[in-house]
Amino acid sequence: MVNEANPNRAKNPRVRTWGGSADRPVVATAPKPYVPTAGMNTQQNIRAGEAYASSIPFVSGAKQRADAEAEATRIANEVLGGQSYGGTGTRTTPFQNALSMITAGGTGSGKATGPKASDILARDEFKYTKEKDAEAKAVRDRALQGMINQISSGSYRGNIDDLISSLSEMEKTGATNINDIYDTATTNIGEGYDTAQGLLDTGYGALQQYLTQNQNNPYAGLIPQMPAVTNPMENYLQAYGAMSPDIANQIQAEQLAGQQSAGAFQSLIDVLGANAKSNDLSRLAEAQMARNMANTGLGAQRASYTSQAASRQQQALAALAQQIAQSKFEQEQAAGNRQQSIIDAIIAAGGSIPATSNDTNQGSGLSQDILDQLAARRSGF
Amino acid sequence: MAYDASAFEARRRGLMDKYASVGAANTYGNFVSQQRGQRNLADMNKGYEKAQPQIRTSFGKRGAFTPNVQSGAFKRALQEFATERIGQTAQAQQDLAQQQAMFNLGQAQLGDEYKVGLQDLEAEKARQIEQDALELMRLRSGF
Repeated sequence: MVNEANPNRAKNPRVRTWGGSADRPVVATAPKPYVPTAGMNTQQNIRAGEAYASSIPFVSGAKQRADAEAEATRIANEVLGGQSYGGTGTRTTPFQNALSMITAGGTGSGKATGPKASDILARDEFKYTKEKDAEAKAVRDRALQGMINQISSGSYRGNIDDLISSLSEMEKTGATNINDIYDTATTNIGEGYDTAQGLLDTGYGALQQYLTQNQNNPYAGLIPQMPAVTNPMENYLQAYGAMSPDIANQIQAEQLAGQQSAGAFQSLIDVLGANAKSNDLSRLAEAQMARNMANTGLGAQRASYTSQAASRQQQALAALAQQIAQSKFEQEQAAGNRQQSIIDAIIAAGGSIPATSNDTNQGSGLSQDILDQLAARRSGF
Repeated sequence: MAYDASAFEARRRGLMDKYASVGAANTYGNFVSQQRGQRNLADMNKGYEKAQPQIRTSFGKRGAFTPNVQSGAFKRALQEFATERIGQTAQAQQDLAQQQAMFNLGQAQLGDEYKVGLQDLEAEKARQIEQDALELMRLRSGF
């Protein structure tokens, strides 16, 4: 029945229509409040009220546990065929069928007539195991034979021989390079010596030429000249008959004084001139000596450089030989370790050790001395 | 230090400049000194030439000298005058000669110093070339 006064009430009687109209329909109503149930405590009533508000029926914890227990019992019976399953006690589940086959032992009417399932299972298991064992043994045999083949053929060495051969080539090439460097160094030393000696000859040659051409004595041209003592009054004195030996003595005395002065000066010049000549000769000798010393020093320097170059060459060659020997030794050591590992594996697999090609000792080409040196280096002595 | 010809040439010019300038100054000083000495000598001779007749005049006034009478005192005075003139003139001439000799000696020593300086320079050149040669060899040898 339609409420004409309020159409919305007909649609939902819980909707209150105060103030509603055709153009302003009521779109929501307030729910009825939850009424606390007698016999429940306050907390139960609160939870029940929340359940009422969310439209979910309230289930207590005890009820939930009881429901879960019942469900578990039902599933167990369904699987195991318990008394409650089907309500008749008929054993029809797969588990019951398998259990009946095992426990029946194949006797009795209505039971299986072939081999027992356990026998079939055991037989199949045995067969499977046997096949797996055979397959594993074949694999082991092949592996063992492979290892024996590696030992007997020497293929366990892999590419080690190629590496050692390469090392030998490297040693030859390195030694050639070192010798070439030494030859170049020696050539450079020789050319440097020639150039230096040319410079020395030029320098000291020019010095000696200069000293030889400039041996002039600066004092050579000095000649002390004293004027002759004369008597300017000689005629006058003779005219008056006044000539006397005193005048002649005076002239002679002055002449002698002048000569003595000139002689002293000449002695001084002689000393200085001799000193200058001596200096020139000394310089010439010094220049010659310096030239000889320079040439000697140059030769000594050449010998020193040549010796150092040779020493460096020897050191480089020794270092190269050491390095190559070390590398070869490591390769041989790796081969030996690999061989020993394979032999250990053959022994562990129950195989026999074949006559190895290693007995022929393809070798690293190392002398015993080098091997001893390497061993000493490894041991720190 | 690598050989540098310009440095040596600069030092050679320095030696030459010193030799030339000092030598020129000495020469000029010597010329002036000789000139002064010659003038003094000439003045001295003039003085003696002027004083010489005065001796005769002095003795003539006292009657000790006439054309027919020549006293011993007059003769002795003349002799003493002559002796002194000879001695003074000779000493002045020798002083000038010694002065010239010392100048020549100074010039010779200056020349010797110049020559030794050049020889030192040439020797230093040779030593520098030697050092350069050794260094060049060291570099050429790669050490």
